Amino acid sequence: MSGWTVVFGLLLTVVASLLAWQFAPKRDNTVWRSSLVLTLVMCYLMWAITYLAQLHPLEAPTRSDLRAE
Amino acid sequence: MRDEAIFRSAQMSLAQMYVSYEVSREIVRALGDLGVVHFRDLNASVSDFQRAFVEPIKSVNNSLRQTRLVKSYMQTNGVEMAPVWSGEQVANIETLPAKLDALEDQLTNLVDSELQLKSSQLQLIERRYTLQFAAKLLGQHHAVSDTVLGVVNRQELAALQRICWRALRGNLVFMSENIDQQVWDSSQRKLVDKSVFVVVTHGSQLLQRAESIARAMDAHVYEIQNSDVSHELQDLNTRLSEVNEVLEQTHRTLISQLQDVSESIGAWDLALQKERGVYETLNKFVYDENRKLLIAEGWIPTDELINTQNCLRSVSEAFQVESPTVMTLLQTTKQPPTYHRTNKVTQAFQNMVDVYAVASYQEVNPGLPTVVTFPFMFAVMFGDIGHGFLMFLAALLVVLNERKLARYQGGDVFDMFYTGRYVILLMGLFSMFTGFMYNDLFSKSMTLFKSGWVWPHHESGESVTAVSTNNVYIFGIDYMWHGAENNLRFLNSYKMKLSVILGYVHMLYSYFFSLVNDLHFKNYAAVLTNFVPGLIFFLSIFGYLSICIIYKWTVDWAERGAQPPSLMNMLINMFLAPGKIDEPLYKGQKQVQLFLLFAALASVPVLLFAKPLYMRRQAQKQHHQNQNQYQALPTVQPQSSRDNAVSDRLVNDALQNLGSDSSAEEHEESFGDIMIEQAIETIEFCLNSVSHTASYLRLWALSLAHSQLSQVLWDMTLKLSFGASGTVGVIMVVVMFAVWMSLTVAILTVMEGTSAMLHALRLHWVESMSKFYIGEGYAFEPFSFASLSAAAA
Repeated sequence: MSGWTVVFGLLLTVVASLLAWQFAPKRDNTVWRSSLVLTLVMCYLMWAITYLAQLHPLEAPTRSDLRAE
Repeated sequence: MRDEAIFRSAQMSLAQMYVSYEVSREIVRALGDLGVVHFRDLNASVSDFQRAFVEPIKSVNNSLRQTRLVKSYMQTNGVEMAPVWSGEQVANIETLPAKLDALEDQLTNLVDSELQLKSSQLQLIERRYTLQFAAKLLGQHHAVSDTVLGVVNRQELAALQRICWRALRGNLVFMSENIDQQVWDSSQRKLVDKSVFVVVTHGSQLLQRAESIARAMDAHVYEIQNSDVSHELQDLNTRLSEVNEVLEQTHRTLISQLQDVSESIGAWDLALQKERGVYETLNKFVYDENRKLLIAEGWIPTDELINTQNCLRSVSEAFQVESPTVMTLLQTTKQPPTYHRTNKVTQAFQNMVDVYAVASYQEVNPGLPTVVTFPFMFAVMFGDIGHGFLMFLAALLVVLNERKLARYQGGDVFDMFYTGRYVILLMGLFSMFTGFMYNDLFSKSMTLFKSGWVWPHHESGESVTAVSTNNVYIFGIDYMWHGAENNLRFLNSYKMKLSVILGYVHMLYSYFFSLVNDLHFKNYAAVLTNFVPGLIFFLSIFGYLSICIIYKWTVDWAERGAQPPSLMNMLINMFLAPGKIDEPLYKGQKQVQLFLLFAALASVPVLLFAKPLYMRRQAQKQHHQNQNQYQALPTVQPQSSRDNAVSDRLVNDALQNLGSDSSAEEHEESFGDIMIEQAIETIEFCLNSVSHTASYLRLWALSLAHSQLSQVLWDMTLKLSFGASGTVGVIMVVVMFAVWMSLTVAILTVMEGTSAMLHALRLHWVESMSKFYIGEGYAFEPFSFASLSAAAA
């Protein structure tokens, strides 16, 4: 688990986008292509940001309402 | 193959048609069925009353009024209209007006006589009741002459009694009896409850007063001769039965007439409406009366030209006219209409864009990326798996039953929901994804993957800090943050950065569409003078910030043993104190920031001056060329024959007049004007790059508010009920669940959803579309019968 996960995710997204571009339905082709690729990219972007934000945390969760363990 | 025409509007051609008068209506009707021609109004300067086909329109309108009248008769008499089959042809449309005239006469006569009969029936009935009442009450006495007898609406009875009492100062006897059947009231046109009343008093003055009071209250006063009551009753009954019989017969005739016509009235109505459309279109044509020729001009999508031509040919062949309809394409500098071919999914998104402004001809259509970016931006503010799922289900229900619900009349709110069903479906889907990212399910978190934190050994109630396991929660926010005391500190930082990066990417993406536009319109100068310097400015400030945010995340600050720098201070220092680095982020930061600052500052004068100077040079070049050229002489029309000369000139005049209505000649702007315009644009661009980036922080604010609100709702309702036990606990859980669920739907899903939707809309209209959208076009409105048929079916 490291920053490379994000790069790997990017590669996966690129491959998925290429496949989506290639195999988008022929009817309303442009709409399908644009929507599928945009969806993939935006979902990747959000996932990557969320992942990166937790990669090297500057802060740790604290609680004081836990039972003894 | 037809162009998909969604990334750009479809290519248009301006066609001119010469239609001979005899087949003009058939041609236009066929084109209406085809529905691909947007006719230009060639008579824009002529008022509606002076056009060629005013009389036919009047006649059609009259016939339409008659069909409406017949329909209203059918409605009041409960006769159902037969459904209209949209392709139904009405034979002999020319004979329709005569048919409808006769029909109107017949029906109006029948309805009138029915009304008359009803009112005489009413009088007879009321008189009979009055007689019976009089016989019962006054039969013993012989003082019928000192009475006012009548029938009044039951609601008015008490008021009548009170007023009579006051007006006659108690000098009367008032008696009444309810009529046990409902009686027709001709003023209200329905059956109502009525009562018979009698006022007994003495003196002609008082009697007269009582009578006028009764009449003023819409009572019917009946004179009763004090003769043979039973004889009169008999007489009345015979007359009443006669009237009843006639009335019934009239009604039967009316119903059967209406039923006869109910088969065809819908089709007639549709045919007449089409006919009106045809004449209104013909009025847009230039009519040459001498040659019996009509000249039409219209925009046709280029890929429909062949269809149109075929359509024209088939009509000409079917009617075997001597002069076939000729269609020629015109070269023009006029801006064609904008036509995006949408489907049921993209339609709603296209509407969203068109409400703001209709795209200019062939520019990039923002409606296409909006299909994804709009629901996604919404979802970033609305991220919760549960709320997203509720929204998705509601939309899915409508989508699955869309055929059935298409005709459902559910008011404005339902209509809005129905048209936006695919938007809402996608919004729900993306909200579920962002809910996974935020790890929020009705404000609760899910423990799907391995956490990156463990709690160390601790005592009860002790403050503990989690220890990292060097693992990163793979999909979304770690559930260990849920319920942590410093949860908000972490989420704030994450969501703020998320909104800045997403916003920046969204704006950059939109900005590149302006490049696509410039390249498509071969406006290469604009690429160099506007797009490139703008891009440099935009990249070197907020692009740098976004990259720094990501870079800062990738650095393990604990391992490096350095203080993580505050990016906010870094950006402020970059401008206010160039070259001063408080806490370094990376090596060589000082040089990079100085360079970027220089690039940003340098691109401003380029933005400001490059375009005006370039335009001035172009204008000067143009000027030189014009001076070196001879002016072209106006072309002289060869006059072929004398007879046609006059009408030719007429037609040409008309066409030329109309050709000049959209000013073809470019208005020459002075250098000063261009300079001021460009200065405003530059200042706006630079300020907007700051304010628009800040505007995307609404993503952070709304998503935070949404998750906090759902957290509070959980804590205040359902969580309370988990404390109680036993029967009380059971009842509380049931009640509290109802409260929690209804508030979740009403407030968190509907209200919050609406607010997030408006914010997402604003982000598209202002922040995204301002980067590239020109939006100065007008919509393609083909002459088509499709909408008429759909409304009738």
